[in-house]
Amino acid sequence: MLDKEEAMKEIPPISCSCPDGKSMENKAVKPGAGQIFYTIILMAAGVALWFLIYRQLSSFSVFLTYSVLSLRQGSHLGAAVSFFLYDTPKVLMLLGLVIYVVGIIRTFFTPERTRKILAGKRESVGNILAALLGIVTPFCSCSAVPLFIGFVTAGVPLGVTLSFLVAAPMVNEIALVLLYGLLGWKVAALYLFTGLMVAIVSGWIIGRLGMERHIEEWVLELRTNADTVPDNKLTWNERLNGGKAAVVDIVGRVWIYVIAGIAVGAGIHGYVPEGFMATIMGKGAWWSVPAAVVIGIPMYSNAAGIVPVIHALLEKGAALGTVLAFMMSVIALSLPEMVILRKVLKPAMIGVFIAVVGSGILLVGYLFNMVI
Amino acid sequence: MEIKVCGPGCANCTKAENIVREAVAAAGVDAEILKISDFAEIAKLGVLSTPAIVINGQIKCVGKVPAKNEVLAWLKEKNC
Repeated sequence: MLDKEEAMKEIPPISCSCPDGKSMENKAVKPGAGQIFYTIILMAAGVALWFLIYRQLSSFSVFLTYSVLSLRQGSHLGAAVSFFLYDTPKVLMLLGLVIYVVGIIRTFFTPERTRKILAGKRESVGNILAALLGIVTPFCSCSAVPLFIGFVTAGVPLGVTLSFLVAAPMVNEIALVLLYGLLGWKVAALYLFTGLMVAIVSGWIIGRLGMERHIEEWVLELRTNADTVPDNKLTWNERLNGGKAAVVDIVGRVWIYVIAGIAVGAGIHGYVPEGFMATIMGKGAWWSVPAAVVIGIPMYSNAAGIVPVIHALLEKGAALGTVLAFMMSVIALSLPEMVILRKVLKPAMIGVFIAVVGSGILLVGYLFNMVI
Repeated sequence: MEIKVCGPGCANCTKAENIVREAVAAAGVDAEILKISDFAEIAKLGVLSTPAIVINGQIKCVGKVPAKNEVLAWLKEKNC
């Protein structure tokens, strides 16, 4: 027992995205019709105000930079500062709105329900479902191990489980919002689609390889029972509170990374000469894609910090495929998560996992560089 | 009463444990609080996402830090 506890301590305290259910306090009062009406009016007004402010951000940042701070038009500092003053509120506003909506959607999904859906599914269909559910199921990387055990022992095929575990961190709402806000909906859609494909295909391949014997024996000996978990029946009021809690929790946690990322991005935007990145991260440099993937694995950053940097890199001539590959590698293949998964997977399996997912990301990178 | 707080030891799991301790102290009930960080044991309890609270073998909440009020309500259930 003692040495087991020792072993547990080795897990690095990685930044954990477990939802903080503070606001899910039981408000047992049923809302009356009047209150629902009131809530809807309030939300509509909120959304309208949101759009109003959002549309003014660009002119406001220009005004602030060149009139209030009276920086010279066309100067390095002016370019960097207006970039920063525009992107920061823009990204934070987008994050707030989308996390609120996703937070509400997530109250409909739990890992337990996801497992019920996936148990006994055929592999191909299961992989696709698992990757899609990976987006909407609330999941925190510290729960990767209990979740893995729970899935595998309940008859979810190994490959399907891994599709879920790849998609969950890779295709997350923060990444998508930032990509949409900074690079447009096309890049966001490409990321969503290729991220899902990497998760689906790598899970499927690992399933084909029949790696089940590379799961640690003690996992397979376990009998688990997840039917003991109470099904959460929530009122709409509680779901809305869930959304609010997600905003407070996630924005409260990532705003500092967002600002740091935008600051770095602003520096690159203002000071790095146009086309500088083309030589090292451009299409011509074939080795840049694998290099981006390899560099990305040990880096552990959340999407919030990495996207603004990517935005600035792209501006200076880095190729889209190289940059997307870098981003996927940073957020989907993280060393701390591998260390956690090592508790249930043997080294060979971890190696195959990294190799398969890494190759998928590599392919995505080359594909984009070739097509666009 | 036996209360198990399941979690590998990330920030939220510690938070959950503290809230349970506070609630138990506030309610003045006689309860044994166990912190479970062994993954095998967590999985055996049927928990998929942490932090999770298990009272007398019954799972009360998973995947979130409970509010103190919630914990107090669970403690009352068991007391009557």
